[in-house]
Amino acid sequence: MTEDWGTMLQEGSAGSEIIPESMELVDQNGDGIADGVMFQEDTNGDGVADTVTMLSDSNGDGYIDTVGTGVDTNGDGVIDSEQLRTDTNGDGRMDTFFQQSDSDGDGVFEYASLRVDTDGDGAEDFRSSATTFDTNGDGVHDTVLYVEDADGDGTPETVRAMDEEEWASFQAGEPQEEPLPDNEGTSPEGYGEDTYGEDSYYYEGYEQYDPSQSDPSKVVGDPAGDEAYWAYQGENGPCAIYAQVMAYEAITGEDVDPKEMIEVAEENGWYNGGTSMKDIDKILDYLGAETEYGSGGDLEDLADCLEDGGRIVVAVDANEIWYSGDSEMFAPNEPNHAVTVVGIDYSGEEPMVIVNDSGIPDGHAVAVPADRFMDAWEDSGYTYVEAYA
Amino acid sequence: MKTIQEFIRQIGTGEAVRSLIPMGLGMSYPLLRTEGEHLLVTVFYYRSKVKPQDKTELFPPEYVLTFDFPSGRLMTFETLRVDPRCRNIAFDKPAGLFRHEAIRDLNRDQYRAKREEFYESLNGLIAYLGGEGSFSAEQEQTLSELCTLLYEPPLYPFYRTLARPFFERFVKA
Repeated sequence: MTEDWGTMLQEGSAGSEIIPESMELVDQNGDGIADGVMFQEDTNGDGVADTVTMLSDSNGDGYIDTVGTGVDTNGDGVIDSEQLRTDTNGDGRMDTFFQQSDSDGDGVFEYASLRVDTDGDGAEDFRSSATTFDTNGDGVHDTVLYVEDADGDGTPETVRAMDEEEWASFQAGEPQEEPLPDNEGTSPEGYGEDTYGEDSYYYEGYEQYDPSQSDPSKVVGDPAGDEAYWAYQGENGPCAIYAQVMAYEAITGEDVDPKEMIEVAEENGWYNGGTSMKDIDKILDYLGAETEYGSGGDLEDLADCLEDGGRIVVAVDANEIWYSGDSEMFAPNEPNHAVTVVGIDYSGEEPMVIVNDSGIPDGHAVAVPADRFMDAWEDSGYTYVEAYA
Repeated sequence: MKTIQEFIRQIGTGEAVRSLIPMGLGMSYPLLRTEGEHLLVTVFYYRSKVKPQDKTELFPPEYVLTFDFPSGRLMTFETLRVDPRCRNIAFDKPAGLFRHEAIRDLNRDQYRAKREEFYESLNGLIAYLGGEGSFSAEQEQTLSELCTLLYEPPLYPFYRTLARPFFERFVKA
């Protein structure tokens, strides 16, 4: 090493020579005995004091244990940066360092930090900071970003944005509910991409009803005629609205705009990004259909309803209809979809339940093997709504 | 004693879920906790978008329900979309993909068999918590392995936050 430590120290102090402008003894606790000393300094040599330092003996043991410094960094006569060093355990070593600053001179400290050596080993093992922001640009600081590294490993365990009320509650030490983690940055690439391209997998395992391949005398309902009432819902969610509209149009021949019905459902609390099973008859009721809501239905019930001129909205686990084999195993066994049953074809060895399914492109008159349909329906407890004109 | 499989079926088709949960959302694996004399089962509901080749998207949970076991009585219901704790969650962005590495080599039947095994193992813990029988270190190890295998890693942060003691004890993340 060629540098001289003494020189370095001299260089360091020479450039920031401080001349106290004033110094006075202070009796902070009012017992008539001075327990602190305060002095003002002109650190930039412009002739005006810009730094106030207070050395104090807060516990009266005769030793300085607190050093507080306030600095007017922009020369406007107002302290805009404060530091407080404290020896909280009286071992002669400062173990707590607090600072706060007002960087834009508006009189509000936007940044505060606290660093603590909690175990007295000379190393800081707790760090926290709070920074306030004006997130909506109205000139008012409305959000506090709090960051805390409680074990001193350099990685914050807590990063939390709080509004004024939450911050006050947090500072008051009130019990805090743990915020749930955000998922920004974790979303996989390409999410939301259309999945209905040439490589579509939706058509695996089922086919559409073909009247030319079936015996009309063994078909219940009018699946070929009801194809005309099918509509594709596009987005996820409004399947039950579409299923009810398709059923209503089939039993009445009237034309109903499903998007209007989504608005009606939203206004009435029947739709909130989806429809609960309890509400899968509400639009039919709204439109004036005669309905019967139930659970525990079976294939015979469906056939009876169709023979009586009705249609049935059923709640199913679509995954069990749309997918087969091992190509897709994510099937949470939840009723997650509503379809309209428009026919049953008994022509083949196995009955086929024919549904208008708004959840898939070209989902009109989809023929689902009865056993697979029943598996899918089972997950809702065989919930159904029979609809009649 | 009611099994967890029966319990899940009960709550899945029960009034609370039928009334409160929009169709289209799937139920998470259950999380257990005790509160006084109560054994509570927490599940959350989340959206998924099925895609081929292990690209099924799993979205953040939207509803959290806690039920009393074995009665199935709904104890708490939370809508996370309007919860101030969740204001940083982008509910319309996936949290990750299914399926995860640990189950990549399982086929559908094997996956379902593991799930059944998990539930049976959980029944052992529930019986123990209910004062029936013991729950050995070996059983705990088995349950831990199954939790770690099946719980979806993209949803770990949510499982952890919603039932930290259970998650940290049984999921070796």
